[in-house]
Amino acid sequence: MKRRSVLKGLGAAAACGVVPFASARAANWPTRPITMICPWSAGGGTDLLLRKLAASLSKVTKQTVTVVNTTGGGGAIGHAAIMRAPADGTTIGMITFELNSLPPQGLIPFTWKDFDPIMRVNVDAPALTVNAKSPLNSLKDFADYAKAHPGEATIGNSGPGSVWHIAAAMMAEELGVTAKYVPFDGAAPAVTALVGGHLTAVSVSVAEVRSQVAAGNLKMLGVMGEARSDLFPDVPTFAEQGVKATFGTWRGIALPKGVKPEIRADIAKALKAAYDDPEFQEFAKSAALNLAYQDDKAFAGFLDKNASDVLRVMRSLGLAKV
Amino acid sequence: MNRANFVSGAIGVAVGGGALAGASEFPPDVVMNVGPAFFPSMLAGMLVLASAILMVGAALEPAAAAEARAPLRWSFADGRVRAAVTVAAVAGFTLVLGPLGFIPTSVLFLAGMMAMLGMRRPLPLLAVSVGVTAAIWLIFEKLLVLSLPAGILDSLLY
Amino acid sequence: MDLLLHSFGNVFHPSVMLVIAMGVAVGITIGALPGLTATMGVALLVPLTFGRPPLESLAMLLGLYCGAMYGGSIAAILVRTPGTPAAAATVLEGYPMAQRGEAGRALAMALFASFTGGLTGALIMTFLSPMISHVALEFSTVEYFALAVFGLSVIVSISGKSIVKGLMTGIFGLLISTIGADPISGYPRFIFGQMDLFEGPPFIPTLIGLFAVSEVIANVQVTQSLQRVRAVVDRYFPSWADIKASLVPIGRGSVLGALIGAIPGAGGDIAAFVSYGETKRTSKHPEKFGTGQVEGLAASECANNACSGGAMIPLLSLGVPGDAVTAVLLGAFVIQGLQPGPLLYKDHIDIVYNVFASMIVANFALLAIGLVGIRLFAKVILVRRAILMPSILVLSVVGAYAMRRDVFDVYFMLGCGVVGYFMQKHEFPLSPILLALILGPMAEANLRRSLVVSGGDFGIILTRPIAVALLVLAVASLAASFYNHRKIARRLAEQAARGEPPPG
Repeated sequence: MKRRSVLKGLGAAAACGVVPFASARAANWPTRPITMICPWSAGGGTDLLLRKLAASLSKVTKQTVTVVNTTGGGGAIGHAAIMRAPADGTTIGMITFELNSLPPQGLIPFTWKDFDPIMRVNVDAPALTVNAKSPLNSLKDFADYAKAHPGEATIGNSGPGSVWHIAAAMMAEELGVTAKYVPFDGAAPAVTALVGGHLTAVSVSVAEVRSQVAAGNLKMLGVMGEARSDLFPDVPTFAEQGVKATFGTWRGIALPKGVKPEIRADIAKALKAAYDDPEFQEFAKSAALNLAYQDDKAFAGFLDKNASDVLRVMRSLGLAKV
Repeated sequence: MNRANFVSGAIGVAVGGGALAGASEFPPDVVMNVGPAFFPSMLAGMLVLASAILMVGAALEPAAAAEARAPLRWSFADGRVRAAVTVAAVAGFTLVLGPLGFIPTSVLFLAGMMAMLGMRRPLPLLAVSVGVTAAIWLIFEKLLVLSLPAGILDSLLY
Repeated sequence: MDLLLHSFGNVFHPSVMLVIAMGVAVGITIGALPGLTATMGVALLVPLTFGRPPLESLAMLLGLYCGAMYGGSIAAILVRTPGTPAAAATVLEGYPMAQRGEAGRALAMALFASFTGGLTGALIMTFLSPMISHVALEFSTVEYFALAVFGLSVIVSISGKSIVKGLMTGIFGLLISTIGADPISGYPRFIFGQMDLFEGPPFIPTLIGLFAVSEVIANVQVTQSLQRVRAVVDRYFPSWADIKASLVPIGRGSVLGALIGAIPGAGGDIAAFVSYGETKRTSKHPEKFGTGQVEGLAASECANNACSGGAMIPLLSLGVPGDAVTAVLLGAFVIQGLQPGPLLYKDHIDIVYNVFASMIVANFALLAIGLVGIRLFAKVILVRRAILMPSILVLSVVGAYAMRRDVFDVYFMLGCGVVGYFMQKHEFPLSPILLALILGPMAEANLRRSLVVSGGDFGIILTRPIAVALLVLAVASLAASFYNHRKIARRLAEQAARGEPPPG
């Protein structure tokens, strides 16, 4: 019993050593409790991720960190709230993929450029997944099938204009086929319909089909990420099958524009420390969230490319108004 | 004629008509023929139809029967005022919730409403207002970790 | 069987029993608070289970799930506000009973029905999971559309005195349900530039506004002299006569609830309405429904609790959540490093049986805690109106606000309250709006999805036998309800002619 508490103390000391920020706390920030805005509702994937990151940030900064869910409008309301939050470092927001898919639809009058991106936290790549009983075994099989049976291939996704709808259109575009996109209310019902054999494929994330693939009900034909998934190292990427495109949904941290550079630097440092917290890393692993850190500059470059990709595909889908 | 039903029917026709007009501007779906406007237009049409039936029935109903079945007339002059004040108070509550914060707003609202409904002794009035507010605040903030606006008490609570 | 008994051994461990009891108690509280649903309760507590042993975490969440399903009925009976959407049908009979001074009787019956329904659901889950889960997978978009239409056929049963008014409110509800982004094209419909409406009319604020706020608006008008009338809390146990009268509805409702729960995407709200509608339709005296019939209350309450067990079936055996709560529970399993689905049965059969056992034990905990609690809950009705009404309003505001932290939702709730007040004043029933809001999007989205698959050909509906059967059932149920409604009108007229007071 005693030994355990000693060990605990050592652990805490070690943690302080790893996180120099906590011990040598700069006077700039944080002087007040921190609020983190989540543009999605409590209990969802984004919320869970942010709450864990917030817990680690609280540990690092020794300040209260409150997560508020400002939701609605398919993410529009929450992103607007982050943009309009006071630029004094007390409010930090989690921005998500929808920040790039809402503007082309004319649903929000601002873009990622109206934010100050701090770091990318995670990227989840989609996979083209079919029923395990399907005779299709590769992207080429799928393309051949879709060409031989025009108007029969159906790809389920998580909603009109959603990230996986765009992913499906990108896949079809790259494979040179036409398919029918069936939007569902979230990824889960689309996956269920595929398990029941009511669709040809789905284009949702690896994490969302993971359990059914592991159970042998579904099989993935290819992952659209930059590298193979850690969960399924046997499934080849699109690139390995000769299809160059990569795509994925992402989550990151951003500030409203106008935060003072010295405060901004402290925030970035603290967030990186929170990201590196073993507890956060452990959580992300158990929840099958693919962590993909990028610093502010790399993240901004990533956002720029992602925004133009999304705009192009949405135009081809007829979903874009601009 | 049953006036209440006639007016209700007229409102239904107006809502349905408005929805029909609105839906006519939705973009068509050339492939499926069933686009965003299909369901709303169909429902709006049905609403107009049902409302029209109610209006006709109301117009044909003999005046005496309508009188007998008519719902309670406004009989409490002050009751009507109290209802209006209640609605206004909730709107006011919502308006100042952000800037003032949940705790002060709720205490003020509760005290005001209770006084209007006949609780006049100041001590119990205050105690109950504070108690109910505290209970709600504790359940939401502490048990469920759902933050309510702190408002002017911001620096005190954290 | 041995495994099940062994699992009971695990669950009877004091620490597990304690977390189940805690889960149930918190669940009842969350369920009873308008605006806080079972889904939200589970979602909010999932992060707390991170790093705890799987059995304890899951047992607590399951207890919370069962507790919240019952808790919803408390607010429905006492203050006419369904604490959770699943308790919307409970208002129909529960509130009139409380008005009559039978709050205790109503609460006791709701508890008994919840317990029986929950236990039946848990038992069906334990013994029939593999069979039922295969049927659930047969449901394609076409079947979901047909199921929604079948659910909508209940509208006539909950229409009250005038079918025209019932249909009008039902259609009006369906029309409002089309507000927001179109489910297929994403085109924003009827949002009038309000991004807050993009995801459709906010459901919980609508629910609170229509029922709770409208009732408070009506209540504050009553003069103070009437305020001293005190209801008597009559009893804390259901009487033998009540139980006997409710046995058949409870049996039917429990099975219906478990089956509807097992269909992914259909939850306790639909189950409760369907069970209520069926009970009214087959009753010998349907004219008394809506005035505080104990078997109507029992029918809706057992169905929504049986739904919990049913919804766990596809979650455990297929890894597909059966309703919104189990979708969140799926996350809780994943955090524990467990993947529900066929693999769970293969690799962690002990966990599966522990879940079965926890669910069964949670229902007994619900019964025990409920019996103690009723004495406390029922006292709410004794609270002075001057205190109760403003408190309900504060809870309503907070409940509407908490979900999205959006004051728009609170104003929307207030608007619904005013509309609901006038509707009620002019004898328009409110429940059809709720049913329409739940089922409208389900019907439209799934029909349109089917048409995407078929390329716009409506004939796809006729190719699916289950869908055709459901649609035929819907028409039959509708016809029977119409016939029933005429019978009710005739009986009421006869009673009036004989000079008897109308029931209620």
